[in-house]
Amino acid sequence: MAAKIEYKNGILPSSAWKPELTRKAYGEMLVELGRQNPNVVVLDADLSESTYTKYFRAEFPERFVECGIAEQDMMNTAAGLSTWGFIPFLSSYAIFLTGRAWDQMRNTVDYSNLNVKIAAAHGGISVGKDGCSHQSMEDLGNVMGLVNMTVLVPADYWETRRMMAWIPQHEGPLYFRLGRERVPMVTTEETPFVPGRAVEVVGGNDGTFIACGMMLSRAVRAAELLAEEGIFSRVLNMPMLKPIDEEAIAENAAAKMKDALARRA
Amino acid sequence: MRECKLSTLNLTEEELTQTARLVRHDILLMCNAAKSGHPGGPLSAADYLTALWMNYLDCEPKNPFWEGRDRFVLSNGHCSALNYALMAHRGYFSRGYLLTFRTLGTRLQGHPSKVKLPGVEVSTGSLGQGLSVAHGMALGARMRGVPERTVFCNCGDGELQEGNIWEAVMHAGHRETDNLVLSVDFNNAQIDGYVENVKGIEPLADKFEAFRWRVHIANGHDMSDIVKAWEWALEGTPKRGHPCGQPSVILFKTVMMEGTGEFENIPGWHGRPPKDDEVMKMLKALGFDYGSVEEARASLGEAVYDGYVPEEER
Repeated sequence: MAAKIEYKNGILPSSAWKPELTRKAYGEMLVELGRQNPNVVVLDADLSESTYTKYFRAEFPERFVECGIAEQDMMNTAAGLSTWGFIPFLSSYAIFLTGRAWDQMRNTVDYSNLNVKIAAAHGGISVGKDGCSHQSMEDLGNVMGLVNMTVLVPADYWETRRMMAWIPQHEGPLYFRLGRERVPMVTTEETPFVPGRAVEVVGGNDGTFIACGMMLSRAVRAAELLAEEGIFSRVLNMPMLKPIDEEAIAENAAAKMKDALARRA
Repeated sequence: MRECKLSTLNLTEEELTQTARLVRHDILLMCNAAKSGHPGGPLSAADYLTALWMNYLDCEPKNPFWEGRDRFVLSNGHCSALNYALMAHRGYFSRGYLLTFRTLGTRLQGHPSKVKLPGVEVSTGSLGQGLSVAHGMALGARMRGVPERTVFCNCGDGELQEGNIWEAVMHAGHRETDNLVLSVDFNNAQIDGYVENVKGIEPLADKFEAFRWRVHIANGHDMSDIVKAWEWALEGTPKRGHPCGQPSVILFKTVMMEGTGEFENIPGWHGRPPKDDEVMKMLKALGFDYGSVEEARASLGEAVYDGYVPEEER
């Protein structure tokens, strides 16, 4: 019989994945946004080679503010720029932005509800060989509790590009998490990014994986392996963690609960 | 030079002195009524910030988002009572509303809130942050092509122990941000004692000069010296047509609780509200003779907010 796994919304099977950097997509899109919108300004704290803001710096030096190695100052300089109607994008590594500059993020940017876009590279353990000082297991926990903050975690290169195209339309503080290493391009240009909504990327009724960021490819791979054993799992991509798509979670949980109750009866 | 519409009151030195006396009066009653708040710093900075708000800060009180305005950032946000009293005396809202300070639902939060009170440029309260924000605002004015819009920031002296301050000082010196003016309330008092004993910040003028700032020292309770100091600062800015390529700082030598006689220069008054008998003594030292606290409070008028209301709240 061999039922086939059902890929949806432009998602690719693992056999077709190629690795690419999310932070590179960030750097490329900054330039595109800079061309479209004169209000886009970019700040960095001596990491523009690594965060790929170097592309923007080269094309728009007058709209690039190098803050040196001073993340707290950078966060609040961006806050001040935003009061003039600029859309500041600032970048550093996730652990430094949400650790060292958390107070600035909380008390100035978030409390004043300022239009500051915080791009955090090197999220999670994706930093790899740099070790614990540069890894960031805490960043999402540190930003999820902030009242006005919107939180995004793109799965791959293409999703980063789609998010970046949307971000200037969003008003208010926003945090998005990029990685250090190349991650599989599991989505394609056809995969939709709908703010606040989860998107089904693999169909199935035997269970549901909900994933975001680099774990999306792991979830899809898990679904593939389970499919080989005749178990068909749904995979939901949840790129926006705050506000989160509660409905999608509730629907899937309810369906599962109904199944479980039916089996018990 | 771009035409710069000026919107200030141009009070005489004597009028400024009398306004500052009333501002002190209001601050003491606010903290007394709220049974909380910080009277110490507001009373030490009252003279020089009254001069700034009445005579130098371009603003339109009934239109707080007026494009041509200067910006003011109270980095030491705990001195909010002073910020609010100055706004009332400048015409943002009636003085009577000051007595809602620190009560539930008021726009006059314990520390200034941008989302609550139109005219507050950014929320402050966590010390050490305002100067970086003010610098970002000054850079924003420059990037918008209006460097004559001047950004004023006030810090406490104890606040200068925060690392973020020196990141901002270094940044503004490096970028030659000459539309940024910082005032420091140098009263040598903080919660745990005298600043020089807690963690000394001297030699302060040398520190700023080493970070490429121009520095001026003034007596923060001598109105003539205060006016000279603000004139000195503005003379180096694009607003006066003399961009000097350096940010400016004025170190105002002040006394905590200035004007209250026996209560002056005691660090304990940083964050202690005066009780009824104490506030009566303080008001008397300032030259106000009331029969009771109630009578003093009534002198401020009705507690109604009659200032600008944002579109989304109407």
